[in-house]
Amino acid sequence: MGLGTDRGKTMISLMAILLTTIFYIAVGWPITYMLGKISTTERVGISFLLGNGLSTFLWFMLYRLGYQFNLITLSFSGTIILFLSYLINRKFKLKYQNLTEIKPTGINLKLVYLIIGLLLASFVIGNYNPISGWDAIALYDFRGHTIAINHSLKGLTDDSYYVSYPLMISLDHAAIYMLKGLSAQGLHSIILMAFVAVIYGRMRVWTNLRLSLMSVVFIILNEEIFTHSTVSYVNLSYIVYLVVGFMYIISPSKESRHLGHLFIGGLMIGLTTWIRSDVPFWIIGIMLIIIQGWRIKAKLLSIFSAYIVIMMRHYWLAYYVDILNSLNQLNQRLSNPITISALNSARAYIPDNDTLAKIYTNIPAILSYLYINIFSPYRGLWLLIIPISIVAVKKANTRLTLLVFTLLISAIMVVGGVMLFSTSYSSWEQIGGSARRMMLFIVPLSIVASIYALYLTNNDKNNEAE
Amino acid sequence: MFGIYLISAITAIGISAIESVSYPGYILTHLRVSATVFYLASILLSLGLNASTRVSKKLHWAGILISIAYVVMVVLETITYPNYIFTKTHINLFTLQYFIGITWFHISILNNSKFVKSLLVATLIFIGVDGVGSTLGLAVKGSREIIRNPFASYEAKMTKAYPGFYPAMSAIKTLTPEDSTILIPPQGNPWEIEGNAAMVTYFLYPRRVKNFDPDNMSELSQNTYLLIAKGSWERTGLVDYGWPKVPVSAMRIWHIDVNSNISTAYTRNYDPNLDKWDWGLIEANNE
Repeated sequence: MGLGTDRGKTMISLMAILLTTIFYIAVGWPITYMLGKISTTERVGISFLLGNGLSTFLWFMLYRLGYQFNLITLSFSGTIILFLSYLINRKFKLKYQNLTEIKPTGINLKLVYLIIGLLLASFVIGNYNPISGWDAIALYDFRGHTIAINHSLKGLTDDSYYVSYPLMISLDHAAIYMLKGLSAQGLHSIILMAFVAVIYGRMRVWTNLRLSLMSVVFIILNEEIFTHSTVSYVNLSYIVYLVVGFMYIISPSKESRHLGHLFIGGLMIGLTTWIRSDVPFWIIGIMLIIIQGWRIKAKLLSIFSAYIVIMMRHYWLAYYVDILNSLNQLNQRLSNPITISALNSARAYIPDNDTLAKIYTNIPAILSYLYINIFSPYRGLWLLIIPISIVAVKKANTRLTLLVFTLLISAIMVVGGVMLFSTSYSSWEQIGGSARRMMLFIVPLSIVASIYALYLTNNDKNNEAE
Repeated sequence: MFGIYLISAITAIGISAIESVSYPGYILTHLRVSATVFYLASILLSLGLNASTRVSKKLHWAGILISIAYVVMVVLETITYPNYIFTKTHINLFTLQYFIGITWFHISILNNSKFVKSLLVATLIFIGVDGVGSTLGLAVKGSREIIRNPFASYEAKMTKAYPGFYPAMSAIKTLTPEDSTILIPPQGNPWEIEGNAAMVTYFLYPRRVKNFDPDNMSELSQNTYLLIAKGSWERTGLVDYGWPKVPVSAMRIWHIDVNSNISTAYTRNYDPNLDKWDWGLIEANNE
C-alpha cells in the first residue's frame, strides 16, 4: 500500500487526526488539575476541548503578532499553554486527583458497548465521506486548505465572507492538512467523543452510573447531533463548548465551592465565541458566571471569568471589524454578522414605533416561524421544561433551577432575536434551517436537565454538594 | 375518580391510535375537538392519583413492543425515503410518536409513579424512540455505502456527491494554469452551484474565480477562461438553461464530457447557439 494511493492517503488522514487529537489532549491535560477530582474519561474529554480551543486561539494570536501558521508555531502555542498551566498549578498547589471509575456490569456494560459502537460508526462514516456540505466546502474547509498552503490568511481577508466566522474549526482542519491528511472530517466525531466523555463525567458526579450512561446514549442517539458529528460544520463544536461551559459553571455549590469549575466554564464559554461570534448565547454564560460567583462567594473569580469571555470575543471581533474597515464594508448590512446587525437594529430601531408596529404586524408570521423552526423540531425537548421546572421548584435545587433558567433565557433570546430579525431582513422567513441548527444546544441541555430531574425525583437527597 | 381517569386514559390512547392510522387532525375534523384536549385531560386527571400496579405489568410489555415497532419503522423510513411508512402502511409516524408518549405516561402512572416522574419518563421515551430510530437508520445508511465500496477513491466519492460538477471542475483544473482567472455564471437558478464563486473556488484554488458580467467585456483579459455550463439545477424561473448566453471570441474552446472524463478541444470562437454543452470551457481571446 503506497502512501500515494487512496488507502495510503486515508491512513495518513487517520494518523493526522490521531496526532492532532493527542496533541490537544496533552496541551489541555494540566489545565484540568483545576477541576479537582474528576474521572479519567472526563479528564480526557475536557483536555481535548481545552487544548483544541486554546491552542488554536493562541496560534491565531501568534499569527497576529507576525508569525506564520505552521506546525512549529502550533507546537509553540501548545508549549506556552503548558507552561502557563504549570505556573498556575504551582501557584495554587493544584495536583492531579483521579476519581476512580466504577466498572460497569450488566445493563450498564451493554450501554457502554452501545455508546462505543455509535461513536465508532460516527468516526468511520465521517472519515469515509468526503467533505461535501456547502458551507463546509465554501468556508470552513476551504479556509483550512488555504491556511495550510499559504501559512497565512492570504486571500481570505480580501472577502468579508471568509472571515464571517471565527477560525477555530478551520485551524483544526489546517493542522490536519499540514500533517498531509486528506480529510479533516473525522475530527468532528472526536469532538463528539470528547463531549460525551464530559457529559458522562459530570452526570456521573451529579447522578449515578446508569443515568450518566443514559444521558450519553440519549445525546448520541439524537439524529441532529449524530449527523453533525459526521460533517464538517461548526454547529456541533459550538454546542459542545456551550453546553460543557454551562455545565461547569453550574457545577460548584455553596458547599463544594469548586472554583476551578467556574473558571474552566468561563474559558469554554469564551471559546464558543472563537467558533461562532454571530450568536448571543455567550451572554447566558456570563449571567450564570455572575450568579454562581455571588452564590458561592467567588465574586472576583466570576468577574475575571466573565472578563475572559468578553476579551476572547472581542479579540476576534476586533480583527473582523479591522477587515471590514479595510474592505469598506463596516456599515453595510452583511449576511453573517447577525449579532452586530441585530445590535445595530436594536439600537437603531427598538425605540422606533414603526419597528414595533412592524413586529406587531409580523406576529402571525413570527409565531408560525417559531413553531415550524424552533418549537416543532424540538417539541419533546421544550415540553420537558414543564416537568423539569416542577422538580426544580419542589426540590429547591439550585443547579436544576439554573438549567431551567438557561433553557428559558435561550428561548426568550430566540423569540426576541427572531422579532428583530424579521424587521431587518426581508428574507428572514427563508432561513429557518439556520435557526433550527442555532438552537441545537437545547438537545443536550434539556436531556441533561431532565435526567438530573429524574434522578432528583428518585432521591430524597439533594445532590448539589457533589 | 380512578374510573374517570381510566376512561380518559383509554380514550386518549385510543384517539392517538386513530390519528396514527388516519391523519393528524382527524379527531378535530370529526368531533370538532382537538386530540390534544383529550391528551391533556387524561394527563391532568392523573394528578394526585393512587393507581394499582396490577394492570400496568401487562401494559409495560405492550409499551415496549409498540416502542420497538416504532423504532423499526423509523429506521425503515430513514434508510428508504420520507413518508415510506405512510405510503406502505398508512401509519402516520408523527402521531404515532404521540401515541407512544401518551401510552408510556399512563403506564408509568399505573405503575404508581409520581406525576412528574411519569411526565419525565414519557417525554424522554417520546424523544428517545424517534432519536434511536433516526440515528440507527442513519448509521445503517452510512455504513451500507462503506460496506458496498470500502475503498472508493476520493474522486469517486466526490463525483457521487456532485455528479457533473465535480468531474467538470477536475477537468478545468487540468486545462488551466494556476494563475488564471475563471469566469463563471451568475449565482442563481439554474446555476446554483456552478455560479457560487465560493464553491467553485474550493475546487479550482489557487485560480481566481469571478462571476462574469457580460456588460463588462474588458474582464476577458489574458489568461482568462469562461466556464460553459448548461445549469445543473432544475430550471424553476424565467432564466433559460445555457451559459454564456453571448458569443465569446476565443483562442480555444473545450467540450467536457463528464461521463468519460474526456475534454475535446476546438480552435474557434464560442457560439451560444451552436455550443449547447452541459459542461465546457472557453479560453478567452483578448486581442
